[in-house]
Amino acid sequence: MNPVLEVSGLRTHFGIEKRVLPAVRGVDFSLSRGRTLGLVGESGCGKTVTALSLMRLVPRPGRIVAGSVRLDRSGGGPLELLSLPESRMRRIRGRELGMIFQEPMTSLNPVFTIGEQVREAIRVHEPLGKKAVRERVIGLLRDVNLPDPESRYFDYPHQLSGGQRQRVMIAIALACNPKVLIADEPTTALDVTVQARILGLISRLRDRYEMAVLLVTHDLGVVAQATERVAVMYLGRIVEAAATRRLFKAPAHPYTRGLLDSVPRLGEEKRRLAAVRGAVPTLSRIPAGCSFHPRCPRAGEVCRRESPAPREVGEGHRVECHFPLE
Amino acid sequence: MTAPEKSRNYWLSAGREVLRRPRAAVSLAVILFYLAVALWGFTGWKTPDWETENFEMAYRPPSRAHPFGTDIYGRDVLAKTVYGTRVAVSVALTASVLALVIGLVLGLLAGYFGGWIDDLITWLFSTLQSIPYILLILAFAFVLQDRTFTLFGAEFRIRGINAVSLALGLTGWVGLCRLIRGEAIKHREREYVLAARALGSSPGRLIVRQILPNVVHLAVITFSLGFVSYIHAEVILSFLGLGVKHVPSWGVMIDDAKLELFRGVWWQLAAATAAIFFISLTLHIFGDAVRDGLDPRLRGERR
Ligand SMILES: Nc1ncnc2c1ncn2[C@@H]1O[C@H](COP(=O)(O)OP(=O)(O)OP(=O)(O)O)[C@@H](O)[C@H]1O
Ligand SMILES: [Mg+2]
Repeated sequence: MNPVLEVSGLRTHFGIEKRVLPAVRGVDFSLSRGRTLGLVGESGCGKTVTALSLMRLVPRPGRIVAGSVRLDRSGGGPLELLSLPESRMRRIRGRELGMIFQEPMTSLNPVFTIGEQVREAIRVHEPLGKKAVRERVIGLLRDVNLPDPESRYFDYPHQLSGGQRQRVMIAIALACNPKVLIADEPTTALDVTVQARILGLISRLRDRYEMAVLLVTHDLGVVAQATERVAVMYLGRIVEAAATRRLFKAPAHPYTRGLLDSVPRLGEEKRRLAAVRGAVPTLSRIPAGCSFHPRCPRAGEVCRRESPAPREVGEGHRVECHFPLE
Repeated sequence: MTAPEKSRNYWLSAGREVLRRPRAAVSLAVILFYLAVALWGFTGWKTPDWETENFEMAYRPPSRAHPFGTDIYGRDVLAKTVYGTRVAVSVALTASVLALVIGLVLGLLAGYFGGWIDDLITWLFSTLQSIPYILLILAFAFVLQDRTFTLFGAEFRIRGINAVSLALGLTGWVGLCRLIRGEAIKHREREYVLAARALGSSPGRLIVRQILPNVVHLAVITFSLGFVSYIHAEVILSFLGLGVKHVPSWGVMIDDAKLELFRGVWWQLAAATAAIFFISLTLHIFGDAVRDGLDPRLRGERR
C-alpha cells in the first residue's frame, strides 16, 4: 500500500548562538492508511521534535535543516510539505495532519466552552452555517464517546475530567477529517484505566476515518497495545524499526533489548529495572561512532569509530547496529 | 471539582459574577449616574444654566434655589458641576478608548510576534516612559493645542478639550501595552496556542481568538482604572490652565476656589472635590470586581 506520509532524512537542529543541538539527526519512516506507528524512546530523544517537525511547528530556535516530508494526495503526485509556503502549510494543518498533545488540561483554552473550541476547529477551514457547525460539533463529541454531548457543549475545560478533556482534544483534531493523526503521548497524563480506553478510542476512530496514526510514547505497554509497527528512537535517530510483534519477540538492537528488559513483567520476580545503564548523553556531546556505544554491553572497537549503517535483519525489520542481536 | 454549573456565555456569566457583589452593584449605579449626567450635558436638553451672570447673587452659600451655592459671578455651582461632569467624562472616555486601542494592539503584536516588531514597540514605549509623565502630557498638550490638520479630506481643529484628550490618550497606553505584551508572551507559549496552530489558524486568528480573550480582563481593569487617572489628569491640566478654557470643569472650579477659600467660600471646592471623589472611588471598586469576575483563573477556582 502507498504510504500516506513519507519522512526521509529529517534533521531538526536547535541553534543557540553558535552551538548547534541536533535534536533530530536523519529520521526515516512512513505512515500508512489504517495503521499505527509507535515512536518510542527515552525522554529527550527527539520524539516531540520529530512530531512537531512534521507539522512544521518546531519552536524557535529550532529549525528543520534537511529532509523531506511527503504527503500523498488522492489526485496528483505527493506533496513536499517542507518546501510549501507557510500559508499553504496552514491549510494542511488540521485538514490533512491533525495533532493531539500530551497535556489535555493546557491544550484547551480556559476561557471557551468545549463546544466553542471544537467549533473553532471546524471554522478555521470551513465557513459553515451556525446550525450545520453545531450539529457537526455534537456529532464529533458523540464520536469520541463524550457522555451527554448536548449539555457538555457548554462546559468549560476545568469542568471536565482529564480523560474527557483528552476526548475533546481528539474531537478537535478530527474536526476536519485529517488523513494523518499525530498523537504526542496522548495518554501519559492519564491514569491506566482511562489510558486503555483512550487508546481503544484512537484505534477505533483510526479505522472509521481511515487515518494513519503516529503514536509517540515512552511506554512500551502502550506500544504493545495500540500499534502495528514501532520505531525506536535514540538521540535523534531511529535505531530500530519493525513490526510490533517481531520487535517484542526478537529485538535486534541492544538498546531496544534494554528498553524491553526494563519493563517489569508479572511472574518474573527479579528483573532489573533500568536495564540500560548510564544516562542519555546531552545533545551537545553526542558520542562519535555509534552514539549508543558508551552505554552498550556489546560495543566493540568499530562502534567507537564508525556509525553503523542501517541494515535489514528480517522482513521490514531495520536496525542500526554493528553487532545486532540474533 | 464541584457540580458543573452551566454557563452559556462567558460575558453574561462574568457580568452576573460581578453584580453578585453588592458594593460592585452600587458602584456601577453611581458610575451610570455620572455617565447619565454627562450624556445629559451633551444633549443640552433642559440642562441647568451655568452661563448667566448675576453679580447680586455672588458667593451665595447653598440654598434651595442653588443647592451647591453660587460663584463669584453669581453662577449656579450645581450647573457648573454638571457641565464639568460632561467635560471630565468626555475627556476620560476619549483618552481611555484611545489608550486602550493603542495599548492592546501594540501589546499583542509585540508579544505575539517578538523579533524586530517587539524591539520597535518596546523602544517606543520605553522612550515615552522615560520622560516624566506630567511633562510628557504638558508637551503633548502644548504641541496639539490649536493645531489644524486634515484627515481624509476633512479639516480638524484641535481645541482645548480635544488637545487634552488626545494628549492623555497618546501617552497613556504604555502601561497597558507593557502588561498585554507580557501576557501575550506567556500565552504564546501555552499549549493551547500550539494546538490552535496545529489546526491551521493564522497568526491574526490566533491573536484574536486565542490570546485576546485571555488578556481582555486586563484591558477592562486598566480601562476602568485609567478612566480615573484621566479624570484626575484633566483636572490637573485645567487647574494648570492647559486644559479647557472658558467653560466649567472640575479643575477650573478648583482653580477658582484658590481665591475663595480665605473668604470662607467652600462650596465650589467641595462640589468639585466630591464629584471627583465619588467617581474615583466607585470606578476603583467596580474595576476590582470586574477583574475578579473576568479573570479565567479566579473564575475557575470558585467553581
Ligand atoms: N525549545 C527547545 N530549545 C532547545 N532545545 C530543545 C527545545 N525543545 C527540545 N529541545 C531539545 O531537543 C531534544 C529532544 O526533545 P524532545 O522534546 O523531542 O524529546 P522527547 O523525546 O519528546 O522527550 P519526552 O519524552 O520528555 O517528551 C531534547 O534533548 C531537548 O534538549
Ligand atoms: Mg515529548
